[in-house]
Amino acid sequence: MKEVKGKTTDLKKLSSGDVQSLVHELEVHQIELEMQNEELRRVQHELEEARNRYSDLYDFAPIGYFTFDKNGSILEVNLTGAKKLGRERGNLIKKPFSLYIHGNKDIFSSHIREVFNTETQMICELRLVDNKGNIYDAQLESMPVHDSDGNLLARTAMSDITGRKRVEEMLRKVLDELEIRVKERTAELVEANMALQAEIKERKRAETRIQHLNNMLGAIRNVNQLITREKDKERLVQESCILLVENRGWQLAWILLVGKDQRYITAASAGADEQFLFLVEQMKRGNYPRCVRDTLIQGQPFIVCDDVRKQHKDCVLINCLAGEGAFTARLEHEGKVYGTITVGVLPELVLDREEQSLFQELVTDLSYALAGIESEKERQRAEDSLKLFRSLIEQSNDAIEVINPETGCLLDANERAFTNLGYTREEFLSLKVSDIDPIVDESMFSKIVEKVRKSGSTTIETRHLRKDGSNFPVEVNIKYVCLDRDYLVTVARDITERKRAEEIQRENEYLTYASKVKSDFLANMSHELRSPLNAVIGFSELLKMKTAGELNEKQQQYVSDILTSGKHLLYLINDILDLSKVEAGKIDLVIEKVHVPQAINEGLTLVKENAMKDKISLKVELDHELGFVEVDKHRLKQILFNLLSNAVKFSKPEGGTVTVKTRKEGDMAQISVSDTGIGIREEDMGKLFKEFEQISAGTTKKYGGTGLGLSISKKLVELHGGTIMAESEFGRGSTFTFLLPLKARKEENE
Amino acid sequence: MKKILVVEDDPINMRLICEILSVKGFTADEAEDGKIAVRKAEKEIYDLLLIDIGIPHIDGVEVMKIIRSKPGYENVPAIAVTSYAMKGDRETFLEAGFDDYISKPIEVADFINRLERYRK
Repeated sequence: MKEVKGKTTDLKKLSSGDVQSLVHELEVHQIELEMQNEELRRVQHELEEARNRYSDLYDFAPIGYFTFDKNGSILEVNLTGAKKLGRERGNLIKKPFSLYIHGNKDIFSSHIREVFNTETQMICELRLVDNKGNIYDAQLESMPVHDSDGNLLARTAMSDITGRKRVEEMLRKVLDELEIRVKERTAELVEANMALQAEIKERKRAETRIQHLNNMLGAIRNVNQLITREKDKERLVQESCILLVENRGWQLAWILLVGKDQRYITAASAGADEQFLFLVEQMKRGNYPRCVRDTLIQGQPFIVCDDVRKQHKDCVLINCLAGEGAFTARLEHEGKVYGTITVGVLPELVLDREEQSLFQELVTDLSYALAGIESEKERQRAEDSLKLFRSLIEQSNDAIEVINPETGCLLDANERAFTNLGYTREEFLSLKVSDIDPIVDESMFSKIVEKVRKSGSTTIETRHLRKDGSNFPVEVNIKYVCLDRDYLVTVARDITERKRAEEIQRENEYLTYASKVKSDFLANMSHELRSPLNAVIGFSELLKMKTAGELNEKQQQYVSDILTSGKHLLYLINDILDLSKVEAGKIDLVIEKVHVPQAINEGLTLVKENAMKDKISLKVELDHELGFVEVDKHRLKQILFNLLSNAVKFSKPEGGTVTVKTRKEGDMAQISVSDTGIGIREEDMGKLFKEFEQISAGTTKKYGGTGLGLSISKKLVELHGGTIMAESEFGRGSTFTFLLPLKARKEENE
Repeated sequence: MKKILVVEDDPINMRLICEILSVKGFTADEAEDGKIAVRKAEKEIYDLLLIDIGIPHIDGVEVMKIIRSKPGYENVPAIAVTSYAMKGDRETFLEAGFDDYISKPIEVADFINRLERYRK
């Protein structure tokens, strides 16, 4: 059309072709218009029908439709709307809608205002009242529209929401109620929950406690099992500590064992830290923690809780326990104290009765076990000592017997007892005391029993009778022993040897005594003899010196005889004195180096005069190996002089030979003196070295001499640790030989 | 002349000693026991003491000690003349304070020799 118009504008300029085409175009266009017109009428009709349909729909829709102006006055209303208000449609037109509102009318007026001001769709709820005064809830949904004149109107759908409101109200009420109930229920639940929580906590605690008590019971059971098999105190306490602490038993356990006077023996611990080791070191020195000391002394069990901790700030043990609780108790049984036990307890269980009684049970068990071990040890010791004793008794060299003091029956004996007497054990134990003792008869036996019953023990000397009838002396120690009944225990010792030794000893003593008496007598005698002899010799000498005037020849001879006899008597006395001194052990040897050949020469000099007088030749045969010896020089010369003077003396009649020989014999010096004299009869050889025994009574007169020379010589030789011997052929001569150690030791004399 | 106190309980021995002394020109005074000897020594200072050991009342060693302790006797020689003639006796008496020791029976020649040493 625009194209046409445009062309129309320039119509004058059109050509005929163009007009033709334009007419054609117009004709087409007219047809098109007629067709359009037709279409329009048809649409008009359809529209009319639609309007009718719409009007019906409008009027009979279940919702009230209102059209309001900006003041809220009703411009249009459908039938449903009028019906809802209970009024004629005609009566409603131009009427303000607020007339039919129940209660607050502002809701509606502000609703309409907002719809008109904002030109947007709005909803509100309010209460309406119909002609019969029925009040109901309604919802208005208003949409701004323009009418054909362009005026702004509000087209509003009104729906009765009374049911919905009621439902809503009911719902609200229900919800409120529900909410209250929920609130109540929640409060209940919270409370229940809290109770439950508490209960759970309580149950958990109880469970823990039960678990703990179970553990403890298990531990104590294990300790009890240990007790039945462990025989060593130290191991028992150490193992117990470990058992008590393992498997979540007590926190720690330690045991102190003490001996007499609470002396430290050992300490065992488990679960204890280093501070306890320090504690143990202290206790080894006797420094027990205060609570342990108190427990040991007073025996009162001790519970460490906060109160106690405050009271015993100075107790090392309690300080060691840090925050733990603990029990301490004395281990004792029937008054005997073995030590203390301490266990660490969870603080919340310190005051638990069960826990405490478990501990008490443990203390009792352990104490009993310690007592058991001790008594077992004692029993073992007693048994051992009994065995030991039995073996001692069996080994004894003495006969040991146990006798019934009433009957005298032999009840027990060691082997020695019956073998000594030649019986078997069975035979022996069927005998009575009177069967083995020939001296102690029944009446004497009862006297002895009576005596030892009072004094406890006695020792008697008696004799024991062998099975073969022989007997021997015994010394019997008898002891009265009261055990379950009374016994006599006798120890019989064979004193045969002792008796013999005693006899010998007595004899020896007597002999020694006699010898001493004799020596003393001789010493005294020789001393006493000197005074008269002094006068005899002295006055003889004075006479001989002619101080009292001249003597005639005969007188001189007499004086000379007196003098000779006096001097002989003096030699005798000297010899006797020597002998007595040797016998009384009074001679001290003066050991010195002595040249043997020189000593022999000096000896020979002393007898030379006599030898020459009797025409006796003196010969010496020296062993050059024998030079010095270590002897008493004076005594050696005395021996030599004795032997030489004898040899010279007994070489009579004249013309004999005396020979001195020396020889070295190992570590001994051998010196012999031989003569060619009268010799000695075989039967007299034994008397040779005896005192005062010259071979025959006549010898002294004939040969002079004291008869003591050989005896003295023998003793002097022996004093040096040497020996002397004699060989002789009667009528042909004799040889006296003595041996002296090269180095003589000084003999110890009493 | 030297004056000598002879203490000797045996009268014969006393006579023997005094005889020898007088032969040799000494003056002898006799005391037959210790008490008399002490008494005599208190009255007079002798030049020499000859004392037997085994005498009554006070033994010879004691007599010598008592007399020696008296004023004037500090340097008077004393000789033991005794029958105690065992080995060691000599040493014992010399140790006890005697100046010399003569054992009985005396040898007259030897006895005189000993006395001469004290004649000044």
